[in-house]
Amino acid sequence: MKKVLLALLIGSTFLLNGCETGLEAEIYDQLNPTVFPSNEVEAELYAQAVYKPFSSRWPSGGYQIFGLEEGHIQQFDAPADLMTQFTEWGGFFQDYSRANFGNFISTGRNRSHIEYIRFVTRTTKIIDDLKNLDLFSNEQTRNHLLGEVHMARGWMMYYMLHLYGPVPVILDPEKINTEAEADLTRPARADYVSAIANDLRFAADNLPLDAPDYGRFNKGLALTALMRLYLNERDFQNAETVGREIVSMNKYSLVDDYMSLFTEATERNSETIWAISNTGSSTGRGNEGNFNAYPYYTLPADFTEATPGWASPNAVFMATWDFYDSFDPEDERRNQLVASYGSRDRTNMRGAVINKYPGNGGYIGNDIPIARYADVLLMLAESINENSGGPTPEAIDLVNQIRSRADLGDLPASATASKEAFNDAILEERGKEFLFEGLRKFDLVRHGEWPGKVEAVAGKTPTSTPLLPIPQWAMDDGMAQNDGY
Amino acid sequence: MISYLHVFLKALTLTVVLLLSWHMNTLAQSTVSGQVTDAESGESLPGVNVVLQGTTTGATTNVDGQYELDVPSLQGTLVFSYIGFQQQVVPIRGRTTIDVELSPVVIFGEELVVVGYGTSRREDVTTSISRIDPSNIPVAAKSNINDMLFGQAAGLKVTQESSQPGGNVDLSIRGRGAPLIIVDGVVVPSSGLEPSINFSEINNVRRGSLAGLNPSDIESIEVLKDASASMYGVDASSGVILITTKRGRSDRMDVSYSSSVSYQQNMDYMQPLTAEQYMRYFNQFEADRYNAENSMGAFGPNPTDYTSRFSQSEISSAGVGTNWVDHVLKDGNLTNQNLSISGGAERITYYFSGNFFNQNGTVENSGLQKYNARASLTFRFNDVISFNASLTGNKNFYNNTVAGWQTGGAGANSYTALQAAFAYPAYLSVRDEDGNFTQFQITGNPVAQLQMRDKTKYNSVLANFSVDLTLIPETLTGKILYGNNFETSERDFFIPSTVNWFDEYASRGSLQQDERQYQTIESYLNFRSAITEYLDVTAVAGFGQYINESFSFGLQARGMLDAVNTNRVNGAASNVNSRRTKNIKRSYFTRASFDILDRYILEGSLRYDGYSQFFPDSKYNLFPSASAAWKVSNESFFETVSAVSMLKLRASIGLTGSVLPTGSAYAAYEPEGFLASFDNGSTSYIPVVATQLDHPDLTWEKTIIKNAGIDFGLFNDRVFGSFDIFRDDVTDLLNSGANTPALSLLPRQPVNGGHQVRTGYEFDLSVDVIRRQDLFWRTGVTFTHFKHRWEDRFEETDLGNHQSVTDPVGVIYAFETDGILSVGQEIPAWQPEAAMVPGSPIFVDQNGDGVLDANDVKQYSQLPTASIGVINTFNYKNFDLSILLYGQFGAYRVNNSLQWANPNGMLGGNLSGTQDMKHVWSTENQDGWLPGAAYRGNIGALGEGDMAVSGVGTDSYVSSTDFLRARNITLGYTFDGTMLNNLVRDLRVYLDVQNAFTITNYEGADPEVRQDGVRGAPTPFPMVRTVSFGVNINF
Repeated sequence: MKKVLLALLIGSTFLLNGCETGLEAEIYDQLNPTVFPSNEVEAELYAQAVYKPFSSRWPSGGYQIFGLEEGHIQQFDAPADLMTQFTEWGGFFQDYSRANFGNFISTGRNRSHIEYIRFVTRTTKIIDDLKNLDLFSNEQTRNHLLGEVHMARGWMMYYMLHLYGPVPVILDPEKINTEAEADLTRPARADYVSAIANDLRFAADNLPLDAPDYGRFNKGLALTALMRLYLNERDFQNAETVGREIVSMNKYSLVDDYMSLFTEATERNSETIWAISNTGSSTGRGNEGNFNAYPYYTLPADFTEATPGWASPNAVFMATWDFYDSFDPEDERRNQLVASYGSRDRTNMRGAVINKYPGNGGYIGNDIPIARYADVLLMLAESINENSGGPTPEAIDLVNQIRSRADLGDLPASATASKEAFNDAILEERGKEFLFEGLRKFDLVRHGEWPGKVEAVAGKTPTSTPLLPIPQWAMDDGMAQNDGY
Repeated sequence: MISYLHVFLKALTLTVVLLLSWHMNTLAQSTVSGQVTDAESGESLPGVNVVLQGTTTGATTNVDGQYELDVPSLQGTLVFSYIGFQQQVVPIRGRTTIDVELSPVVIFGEELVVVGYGTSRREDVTTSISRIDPSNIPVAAKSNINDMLFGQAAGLKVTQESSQPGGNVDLSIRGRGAPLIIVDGVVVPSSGLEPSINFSEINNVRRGSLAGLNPSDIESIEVLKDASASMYGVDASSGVILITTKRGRSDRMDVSYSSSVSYQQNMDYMQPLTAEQYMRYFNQFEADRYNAENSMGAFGPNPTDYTSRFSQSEISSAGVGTNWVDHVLKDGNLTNQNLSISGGAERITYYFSGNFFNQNGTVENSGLQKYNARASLTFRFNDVISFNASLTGNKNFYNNTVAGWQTGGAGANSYTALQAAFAYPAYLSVRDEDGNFTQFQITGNPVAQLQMRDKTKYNSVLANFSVDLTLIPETLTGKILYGNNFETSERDFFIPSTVNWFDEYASRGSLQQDERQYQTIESYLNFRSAITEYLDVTAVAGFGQYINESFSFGLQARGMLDAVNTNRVNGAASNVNSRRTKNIKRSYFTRASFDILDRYILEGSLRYDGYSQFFPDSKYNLFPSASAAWKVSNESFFETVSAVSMLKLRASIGLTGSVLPTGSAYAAYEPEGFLASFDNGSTSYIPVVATQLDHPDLTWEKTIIKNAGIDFGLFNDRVFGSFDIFRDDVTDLLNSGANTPALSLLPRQPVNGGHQVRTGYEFDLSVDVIRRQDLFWRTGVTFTHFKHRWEDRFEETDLGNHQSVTDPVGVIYAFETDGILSVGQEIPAWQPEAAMVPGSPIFVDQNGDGVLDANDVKQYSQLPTASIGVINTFNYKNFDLSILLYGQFGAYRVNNSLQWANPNGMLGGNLSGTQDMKHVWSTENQDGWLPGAAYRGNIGALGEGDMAVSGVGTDSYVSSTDFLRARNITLGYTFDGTMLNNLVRDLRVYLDVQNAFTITNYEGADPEVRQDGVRGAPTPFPMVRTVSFGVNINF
């Protein structure tokens, strides 16, 4: 009896044996690369990941180019000449607002936009996978997805160029998972720019005029981004060519009412080429849609006209009084600014309140325009002026179209007297037209006004270069620092 | 309140009645006789003293162990005492013949200790194991086993992470992570199961492991600190805590009932400012900041044009205002009822218990109701087979507290109610003239926030079944064990639309349910035999499989009707989630011990463990251990040293391992939870992204534990204790978030790497200062010291110039400061540019080279250099008194709760300040030691080249956390049965004060409880003082 039991016990001890077999991983919540993507729908979900940096959410889990914090407003509008400094919260809010980027050398890994060089590798991988997947019912579907991914890669590289200068990127899928991932040698600017142009050209040739879902990348956006690339490289010939290509599409035209561009009811219109399409109820979490919470950042905490913002006594983003005063009182575009409310006015506010997105509540649904036809027209005017050695009637007319829409008369003769005068007039016009649209720093740099015009604003202490510093950890890994740090 | 007063009065009445009846003795003369024998050997005991309690009447047993005694009545109590045996007190209860068995005193070395897969006499243990006997630890105010462990064992650092009802008590053996916990052989999780709120930024719940057990059911707790843990190779690298529960004994039936009522109040906490103080401080700080920014007044050449925010008339009429904190903090109470029945008959022993614990916490909306029942049965089928089955069912209802803080990046718009109470200035009333809740800046009204509901319902079942085999009596036994620890926890959170929270008035709700199941399957054989006269051998061999599964799902919804809220969500859900995981560990283990001449013991163990989530070639690892002991006191040359009753030297070395807490080594694609959203939200895609690549080489983290120790007993065991010295080498550390090359696909990867070293020593010492018939005083000390540092870093780690490879783990790097720069004071040459303004901290140039750089960064350890426990117990006649102190010394931390006194936070509307504002420097308070309002703290990058340093702050808010706390002071009185007309066997009443006082210099909330750094500042649940009155009755 006992021996039987003993045998039973020992038997059971090694029952589940086979020693090292039968201990396979059981994973329920993830897919394995050997089984994904397995069909067209999955391939589309795979490609959709490229939209993350081009969305608007809170920055947890990665910054977005068009996010509220450290997005295009804070990166390209705050450190320029139209907005005031902001000291209330200190830290990066203060640093960006003063155009002083020195402290960003100490930005850690995963906290810095330089991390986006990794996004380029990811898009390269997705492009390679999409090219090789044998599951598309037609090439048009494949090329549409490829167009979106190329758009994302080229556009990201464009923003990186203007944040940091040329940065190391992996465009050859063969280099993924090799030592090349640690090679942070910075490429020559010309090579880097031409890679961006190739991506955006591919996108323009493969994206539809109207995206299947409003808010996905389209052809007009790809061309506008390409035009901006050329313009900011001062390649005015190519800029003019691309500009004329956009105009000749006959797809876009200016709307009559400037403020209607930023109003929820009229946010889809003939002028907006591409915008962040927002979900009204979104509070900016990843599992919600895109959001617009700019009122929290543009309205002071005691604002009475609408749900107040967060900062006190001054708002995070405010327009300088000098800029406010530069508007013709007739200029419809001054309506995006509020000079007084309650007991607050220019005697006790650092600047004018920016109320570009009319709405009530902190979380509003208003779309955030990123590319407008007005920009194409002014860029074209600027390109023609440069290419023709001075303002042509066509170029002057382009600017006057913009002024006329804002209820202003034509440019005075003095503004069209010379190439330089016209250039200055375009810069001024662009300031009024595109306040709070994330374009100002590009414009100042292109026009050679950095850091001059920024220094003139009270409290601003711009660094000598408009570029951000390469963070210490990236330097330690071998990336060369930008001049000026 | 009414109900517990009622219970108290009832208990008091009962006590008085019983006391009266005790005095109603009758007067008559009788004789009692009987025999006294040794309970173990059955032999008669001559010379035993027999005394009628409370008198000098007594007798002594004769050579046959027999006695005869004349007593005034048959109602008294006899006390039997004999050297080397436990004293026994026996009520006469009318009997004239009373036979008594006396049990030998369990001397220190004879005590049985639970070790890996068996038990051992303490004197035979070759490794470092601490045993905690919970019977002397008051449980009145304790809902969790972990609450009982403060100061009890050398090498076990116990820290109250949160004092909320059921709050987490952090256990660390020698400074390691959470230990492996095994209850009656079954692996249970060492962390709490706490569902999150799906969308809210509230971080309020911090509860720990073992929530499903009843502290009163615990027989013993063993802490395996060194290579003894190798026997549990699977995840034992942080040491092992073995918990053994009570079982029935066959000799008699015991019924015990205990009941207590407690009153709770918050200990020292931050104190808010009055309305008048707020206005004065605000004006002062704003003026300083304004003047500094504009070089005015005391800060520059220009006269100031600052106009005060609050006028003189506003200030003078402000008064005290609203004490918001009083609306959130309150007094609490709790009751605790326990009933247990244990006993046995011929073939069966049993233990049943029930527990009801009901606590109203000291913060609004905090509480715990715990229902626990346990049944444990043993059936002896025959001499060979017996069956053990036990089942514990538990249900906890939590009201989750409104103390805590918001998560990560959120601001004052998502403060908890207690944070909001420190954010709202006292000049605001709770409601405005229209009866609506007032609103301050972006923070929700604290009183309105009390309408938010946050409840957790926790259920658990611990089932345990084993077959115990006696194959060869006293020689070969076996066990087959199946254990299942199953828990579910459901969190129900709702914000009504009437409450402004996170910038919205909107009804929002979240339901989240998490469940997990830990299964243990083990079978093993134990062998024990005296091979020869000189050699005893014990051996174990077995197999185990451990299956851990989890599943969770939840939803968030908004726009529900307030009255219906989360009770019915239909169509309103805007976010849902689920996740299922599973992993399996498998082990083969064996151990053998050789006891030679009862003097030299050698022991070795081998464990071969596999983990399912690693790649095939990396799955398995061998974890060996070896240990030896020399029982010096058993040597013949030692026989003459009578003062030393036991002396043993021992040493051990062993390897233990741990695995990834979650995830696997395999490549994965998964939905990222970040929507690609278009068409104003009407079309969304859930992108699928690569989250991990294959890591075929990823494998076990390994810890080599070395230990040397000495166990001793002196002067007939009046003094006994242990001393241990140890070193852990943690190699192949697992880091699930290591950096990758800058251009690789994923930012993080799991790797093995690095090497950490822990060294330290610990001792426990127990001294019976007084051992007399009617007075007994024992004093005990436990002491733990350890260090923890890097030996090698992960290749992927970025080290700053101020860091070295071998720095301590988790150290705070900061510039030392020496007071605050006053107006007109000379500024040191090395002072950073951003700290030139008066009110800035004065930086210390450590190396005196006139430059502030990486060389000047100071290290502040977050690890205590000493964790101590001091236990004193006194017995005088029927009184008992015990005093337990514990403390931690030598550690620092960033004092985040002191940020409530941050002047810039006040000016920014994030906080309304505390009385600690008196420490803030201002032009009117130049003795203040916290930086003033003009200093903005961002000192940027300092130094040049290899000595450049950035991202390092100052020590202005770094505080010493030294503290000594009176954990329990307990005074009891025991009535034996005769005093109570033999209605009961004995009855003890006691008064217990938990956390009577804390001695500390720490400013802010509390030096011990966790308080994270957040925007604004955190409000941890205050430490709680509990006064309990209780009664324990044994029938």
